[in-house]
Order: sequence, then C-alpha cells, then structure tokens
Amino acid sequence: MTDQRRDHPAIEQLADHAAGKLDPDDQTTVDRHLQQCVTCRLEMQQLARFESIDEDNELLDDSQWNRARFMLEAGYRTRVRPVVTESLRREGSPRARVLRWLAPVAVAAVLTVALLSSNLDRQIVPRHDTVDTLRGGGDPVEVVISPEGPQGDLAQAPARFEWRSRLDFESYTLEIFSAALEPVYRQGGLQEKAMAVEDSLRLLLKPGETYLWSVKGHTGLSEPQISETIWFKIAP
Amino acid sequence: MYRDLRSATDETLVAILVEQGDENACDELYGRYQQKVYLWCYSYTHDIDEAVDCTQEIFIRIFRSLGSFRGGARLSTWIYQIARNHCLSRLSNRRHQWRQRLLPIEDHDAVDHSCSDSLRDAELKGQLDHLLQAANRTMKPQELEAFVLHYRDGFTVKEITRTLGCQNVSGARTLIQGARRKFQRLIAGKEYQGD
Repeated sequence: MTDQRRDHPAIEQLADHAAGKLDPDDQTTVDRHLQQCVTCRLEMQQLARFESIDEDNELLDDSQWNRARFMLEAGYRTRVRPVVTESLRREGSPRARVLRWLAPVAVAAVLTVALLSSNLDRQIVPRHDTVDTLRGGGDPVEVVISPEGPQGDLAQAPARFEWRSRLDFESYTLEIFSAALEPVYRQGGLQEKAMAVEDSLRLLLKPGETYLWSVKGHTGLSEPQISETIWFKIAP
Repeated sequence: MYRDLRSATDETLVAILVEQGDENACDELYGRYQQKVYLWCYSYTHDIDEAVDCTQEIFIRIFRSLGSFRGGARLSTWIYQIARNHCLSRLSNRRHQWRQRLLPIEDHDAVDHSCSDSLRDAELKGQLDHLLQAANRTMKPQELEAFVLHYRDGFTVKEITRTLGCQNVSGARTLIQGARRKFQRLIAGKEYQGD
C-alpha cells in the first residue's frame, strides 16, 4: 500500500494484476477489490492507456506530434537537461552529499551568531539576491524577469504578486509550488506584471507552509523566459 | 560503463543515471518516454504549447526524483503516476478550462457543474471513496468509470471513448448522461448520505 492510496492496492500491484504476475491468493484479493472500487479499475485502465498511448494514430494526428516533437527536443536542451545536469552535479559524490547536509547547519550557526551579536529587535528580511532559487548555483544566467513580492515571512496572505521585467512579453504565467515542488497554483495569460490574489488562491495558501513562486514570460512561439524562484511563508 | 544504452532496460538506465551520473542515459530515457508523456499531457490539456510545457515539467520532476524510484516497480508505472498526478493538479488549478469540457445532460440543456462540484467536494472532505462506493451500487461499472473520468479527471468524451474502448463517441456520451442522472438521484435521495 502506498501513502496516497491507503485503502487500495498499490499501483504496482494493480500493474502486476493486469499482467497476471500476482500469486493466486493476491490475484483473488485484488479481483474482489476491483469489483467494488471504481478508483482502482480506472487506475488500471488509465495505466494500460498510458502504456499504449503512443500507438493511437488518431491522437498522434490530433496532438500534432510531429510539430510537438521539435518543440520538445528544443525544450529538452534548454530547460530539462540543464536542470538534470545541475542535479547530477549536486548529487554527484558522497562528499557533495555530506556538504549539502552540512550547509544548512553551517548557515543556521552563522545566523545564530549574527542574531546574538546584533540588535535582536531587528527583523531579518531575506535579501532578494540570497534566497534559494530552483536553478541552483550553475553558470550565471541573465535575469530578465525578477519576482518582487511576496517574499520572505508574511504576517498575512499576500494581496498581490508583482514582478519586474526588462523586456515586455506578450503574457506572463505565474506558478506557485509547495516546498516539496508540488504545483499549487498556475495562472497564465497575465498581461500585467502583477496579479491580484483572488479568494480561491487565498484559500489554497495555508499559514505556516512555505511556498515558492516564479513567473514565465511568453512571446509568440519562442521559448518562455523563466524568472528566478523566490519563497514566502504566511505566519501561522 | 554500459556501452549500448539503447539496449539497456529502463531500470538499468535509471541505475546508470543515478549511480554514474551519465547524462547520455538521461537523453535515452527522455527519448523513450517523451512521446507517451506528451500524448498523455495532450489528453488533458488539448493544447500543444501547454502539453509541451507540461511534459517538460513532468520530466524535470522525474529526473529530480529518480533517486526515490524503487527498483522493484516498473519505470513506466512510476512515470505514469507522476504524469497523471501532475496533469490532474494542473487541470485542477485551471478549473475554468476543465468546466468548458463538461457535457450538458441533454443537448438543449445548459451545462451544470453540480456533478464535478460534488466529486470535488467529496474529494476535499476525504469522502470520495465513500461516494463512489455508493454510486457503484446504482450504476453499471462502465457508466461509473465514464462518469468519473469526465467529472473528476476532466476527460472529453473522445478521450473517454479511447480509454474505455467504447465503440464510438455517442456510446461514451450515453454512458455519461445515464450515469449523471443516477448520480443526481443518488445525491438528492437517501441512497447516499455524506458525513
């Protein structure tokens, strides 16, 4: 059983059931569950659909696969592979893993010393150029779009998201992620360099949780420009 | 070093990528799955640019979390889960787009969002399984499957036809409309009482 599917067989078990790889007892148990559970029946059907989706010629035509393939290959070189390269560089050696573990401890120690030796009443506001970014510390990247706020610890839910851009894009897409990089919110088609927070978004943002956000700028069919990622946290 | 990555199994590729950091293994893995993931995303987004964007986001997640892939499972199953969750999450954040796909119960009716709203409410309250079990007692299996794909996952009638292997689009449409009437009776009546 997985965490997300506590009351259901694990998806690997459903896949094995579909392939007839379970032992007879487990096969019977899963069969019985499937009779009652539309969620698992659909999970199996959708998994089967995923496995054979590239054989669907009608969908290949509908989705203009031949055109999309070029866009995907270009995007892989400019967007996906650099992230992987960076991740591999960071994950790399056991020494790098130890350093990665030690880094937050070292930062915490430095901050503690700094706090003790300075005026404790002063509020610490993360500086724009020192917050974590999803891009990590690779080669210098020309920053075109810069998120302005919300940023850092907030007393209450933000009213607006604002960013600056050195170029004028046709539209912008705002994306918010959880600290675990799960997508939380996405709004495209924004014409201004700001977005007012609607009630639906305010309800999604939970006090005490850390959120990351970034902006993409779009013009025509060219690759979108992605801003750096900054964080905020609403006080519990 | 594995000489011929093209003949390596998925699981071997993952091991090479994770343990040796061989970026060629990354290229090979992307090449193997980009079409499946793109088509899957297109099924949800119905837009080439969005599907491409979504595919890239999914691969970034896949490559970032390869270390958590358990060797006992099939890689394609693992990728399916990531792709499915990502698409659902993305669609959920764009409910206006999803709602445009929902079917009116009859051609002359206005689109009513009560079914998708009921499923979403039940999901948010952790009662979706309970609700679907009750629906399972009143609907035929394929009716319920079509209903859930349409109102929970935002699948179009065409996609449902493909996923459930219906003979034609009107078959899937009939399934959804029949299921919807039963679901509305279920919600209105005493057959299902949400906690």
